Amino acid sequence: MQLFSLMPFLPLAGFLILAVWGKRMREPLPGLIASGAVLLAFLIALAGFVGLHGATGPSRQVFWDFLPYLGGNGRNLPIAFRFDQLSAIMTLVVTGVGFLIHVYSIGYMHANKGYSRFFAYLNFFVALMLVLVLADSYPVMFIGWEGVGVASYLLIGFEYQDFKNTDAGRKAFIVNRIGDLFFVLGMGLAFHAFGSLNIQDVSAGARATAYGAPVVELIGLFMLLGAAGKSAQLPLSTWLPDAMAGPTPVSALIHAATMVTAGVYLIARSGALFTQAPGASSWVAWVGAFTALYGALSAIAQTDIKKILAYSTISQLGFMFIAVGSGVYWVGIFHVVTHAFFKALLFLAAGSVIHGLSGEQDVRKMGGLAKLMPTTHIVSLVGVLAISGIPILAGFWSKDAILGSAFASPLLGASGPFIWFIGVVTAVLTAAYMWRWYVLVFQGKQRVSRRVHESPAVMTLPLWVLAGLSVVGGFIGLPGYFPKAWNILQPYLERAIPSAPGFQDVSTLTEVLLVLMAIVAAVGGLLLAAWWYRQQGAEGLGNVQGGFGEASRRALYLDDAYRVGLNVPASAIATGLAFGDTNVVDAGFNGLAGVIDDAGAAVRGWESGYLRSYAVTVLAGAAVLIAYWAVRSLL
Amino acid sequence: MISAFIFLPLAVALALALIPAERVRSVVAIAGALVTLALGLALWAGGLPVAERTAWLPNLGVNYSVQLDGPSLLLALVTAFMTVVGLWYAASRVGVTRRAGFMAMVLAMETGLLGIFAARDLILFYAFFEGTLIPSLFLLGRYGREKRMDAAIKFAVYTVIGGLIMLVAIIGARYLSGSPSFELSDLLARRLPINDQRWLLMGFVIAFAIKLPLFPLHAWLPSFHEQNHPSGISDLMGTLYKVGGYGLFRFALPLFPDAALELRGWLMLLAAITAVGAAWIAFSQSDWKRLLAYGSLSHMGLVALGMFSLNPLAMTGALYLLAFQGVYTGALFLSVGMIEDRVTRHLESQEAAQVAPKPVKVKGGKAHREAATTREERHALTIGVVQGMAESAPALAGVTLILWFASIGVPGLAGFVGEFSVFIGSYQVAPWLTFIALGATIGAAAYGLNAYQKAFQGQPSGGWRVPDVRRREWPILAATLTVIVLFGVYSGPALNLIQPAVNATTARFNLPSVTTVQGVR
Repeated sequence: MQLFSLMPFLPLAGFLILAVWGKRMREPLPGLIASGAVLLAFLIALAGFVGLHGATGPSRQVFWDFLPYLGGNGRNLPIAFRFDQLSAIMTLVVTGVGFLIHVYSIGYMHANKGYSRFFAYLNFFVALMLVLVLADSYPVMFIGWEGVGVASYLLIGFEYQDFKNTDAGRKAFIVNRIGDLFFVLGMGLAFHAFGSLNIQDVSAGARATAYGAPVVELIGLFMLLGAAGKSAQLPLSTWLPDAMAGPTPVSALIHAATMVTAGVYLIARSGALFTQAPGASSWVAWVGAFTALYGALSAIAQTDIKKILAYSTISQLGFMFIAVGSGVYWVGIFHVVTHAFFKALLFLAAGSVIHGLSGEQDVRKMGGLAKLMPTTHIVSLVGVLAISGIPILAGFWSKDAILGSAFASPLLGASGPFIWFIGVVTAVLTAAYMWRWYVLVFQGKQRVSRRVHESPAVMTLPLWVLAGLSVVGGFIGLPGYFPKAWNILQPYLERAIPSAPGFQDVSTLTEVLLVLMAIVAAVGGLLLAAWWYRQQGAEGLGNVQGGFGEASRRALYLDDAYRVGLNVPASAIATGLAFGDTNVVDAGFNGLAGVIDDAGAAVRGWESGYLRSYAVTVLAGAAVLIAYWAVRSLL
Repeated sequence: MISAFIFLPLAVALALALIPAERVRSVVAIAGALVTLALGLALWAGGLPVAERTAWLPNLGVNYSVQLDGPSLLLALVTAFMTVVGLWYAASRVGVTRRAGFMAMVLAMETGLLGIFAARDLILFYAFFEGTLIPSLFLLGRYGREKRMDAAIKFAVYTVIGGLIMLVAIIGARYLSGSPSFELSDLLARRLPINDQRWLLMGFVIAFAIKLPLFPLHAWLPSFHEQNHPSGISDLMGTLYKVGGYGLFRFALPLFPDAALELRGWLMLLAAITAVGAAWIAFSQSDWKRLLAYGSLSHMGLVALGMFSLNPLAMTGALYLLAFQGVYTGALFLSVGMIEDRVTRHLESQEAAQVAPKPVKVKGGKAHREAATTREERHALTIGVVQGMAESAPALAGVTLILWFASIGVPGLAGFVGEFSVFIGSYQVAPWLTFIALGATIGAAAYGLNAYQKAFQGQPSGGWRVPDVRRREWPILAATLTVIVLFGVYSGPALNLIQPAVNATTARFNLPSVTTVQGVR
């Protein structure tokens, strides 16, 4: 067994140990075991990452048969892992950021009744997420895909005594299932077209298919819907804000840094297919663009410190979809990486605030925390600037790369500039709502009445590391106006997921203008929020007035639309069907039997037990039917 | 050896009558079931297929012909395994005076099922098919809940009618084909013209669609489960889902391949409707057992979808689902039995606490209590009558949740391998119907997690501490969980049993091979 394939088994072992013996352990031990397992996996990922820099190609580990006939040429499909450059980056993010969040949780979950259960679930999540990114075939990816969904369900509903939390978990799982339905359809069509569900086989088959052939377009659209469920894209985005019911480290790890990027990963992994599918790719980019805008608009008037970040995540995932829809898969992954740094940072900082305020989550009741929580304040500021796209911080490089590629993408063609424009508008909004978040929490007058304390070192240390990464993390993918050799990420990733061919060469002037526009958008957004704060103060910033404020707070009424358009009718239909089943189908058969029974009684004057006449008369009816068929066949 | 495997449980059942001591009876029953399981495993280890054949009614061309090939053995092994599990639970769950009879019926049931899976003569198959009705009716009629007789009559009528229709079709098949016997291999060797195949297929399909069941022949199912013994053991053994799915695969489809191909679309439509409709109805059920009944119905719709698609991938998946659905749904029925056990005791103790301060009523107390129990019993199986059980019974909650996830079809658990293969396979034949049927997977998540939430999550009701999994209950849950996880990940051994037979069967349909790549080049 190769070293890399050990990765998922380490946290899985941690999960099993904690599931069986966790209850008997004293407090820091479960956290140490869980963190240690993830750290070991991280070291393996690091070794693998370095190993792939040289001439060595991807390695593959086959275990045993899993699914019948799906492995190509009628062979059974095995459970198998494959470690290439894309897997290397993803495993590094999952285990690296995952490890930091594990450590942070040791402090955050202190004195929680479900301490060991929490770490068991967290390790379970990491194990299945690693399966997802290491999978050699779509069904094995689906094991991880559904497995992380289960982990997400468990962790959102972690405090299961409150139905509000478990409702949110259930909703996340069911909405994800809707996406999964289409993922399965996509696999069904891929098997139909290429005779295998191995990712390499499907990619090879797609490459041999004509550009824009309906079959690849349709597979792409199915996969887009699957990805939209997992990555909370429109129209399947509603579960993610609710998912904030889970403990904050969970929001950081699962609902910001890793699991929700699985949809981006799926499309990047299927890059060979999407490269052949300009229509599906455009859909990916448009869904991403609208979701980015939708998330940003919804984030502006939210009042919960975590919900603002949740809508921001939806918006940032939209940016990633724009990237992979444009056919520059490495850029999508680049933003996955930088976003993992600064969004995990922001969530953990929010957790630190919530922790410090003993559970308060309403930003209108915070304010002035800069002095009381200096560490949390500084790292939050770094996170806010990074996500806003202020130059040289991580978010600037990746967002700039996304906007630039959308502008010139051969897959998007003429719609590229429109998507670029939506992206720029969203960038302005992003800077604005993040600055509002920052001001309401840390600046101005203190609006909290309780005692505030800074978090312990076990929580602030991961914050510092993530803050550092949010500053320098973007340097791995420096753009084209720097020397080519400075961009480490692009050549590395393109060995696994080559970008779509045929990007137009934009002139240097255009490129400079694009970069300037991005900077203006980021700075403009910040200034806009600052001006707003100046005009209306914390009160006006907290309670956004007017029709727009109301619409934004209710996330543009999407949830309400679902409630009225889907939930209510679905339950009504269920009740109706159940009623029909007992009172029509069942009663119908009984009634039919009764009629035949009466007829029989009238003709022969039967005097017998209910059961016998019932049975025999119904049989007679059925026999007549069969006899009719028989006679017809003999004639 | 096969015959020993088939008839050992029946022999043990009869022997139970001769044993006076109640304790010994339970031990003997469980030991008998264990030996049966061991025999089955030995048959597997010895290599397949194994067969036995002697003349039974030579004048009529009826043979006692039994054979265990892959699918037969797999289903037989699962049945033998679940019998052990069911008897183990019965030993501590069923009232001591009625226990031996209950166990005997379960064992008789096992012989019937093993016979069904092994029979290779159609009349012998019919005999076992009808024979299983007797123990399942006794289980329902003697040990069921309040309205058990209504449920029993409905079940009996449906099954008998289905069986008789099948008998007509069996006789018709031999008569029309001019086969020298009722032996399956003889009948398979003579392919009938399509006109004959059509009505014969319908005869078989009606019989199996009642057993499976399929819409609209499922009306017996909800009340059957609702009224069976609350422990869930009878639900485990008494239903004959497996027989319906297996019968389609073994007899109906290969005997009448041309008609099956012709009617494929309509039959798949029926299956898809069953899968989605049942899942949807399940969502509005408030009784645990009715919920599980509709959940099973939905799964059986998927089994039928796979079978009727005639696609080797989907058929393999359907057999896989058929084999392991019994394990996790069976275990869910048992976990519901455990919930019912706890809740009933809790409600009784509440009642006792209310009655206790008034010693005057003690005289007529027994009759009063009797009536109360039946009322409370219905109560105890209502989903969510007690909430927040995870607080004091975390192990029971955890195991139940895993079982639900298996039932929802989460990969890594045994339900996924079958369901996924059915979906991918039937997509190759009928994409739109597959799309409709996939709605069942969303429905499963909705009704499963909804029910779990109502019972296990939320604030614990009235500060009541629910007893967690007891020592005697652990082996049941541990054994079923092991099987569910093992065959959810390591599916190779089961696939090896299923695939050769599927390849042989699908070869009869003259379809393009599964390996054909139909890519657009």
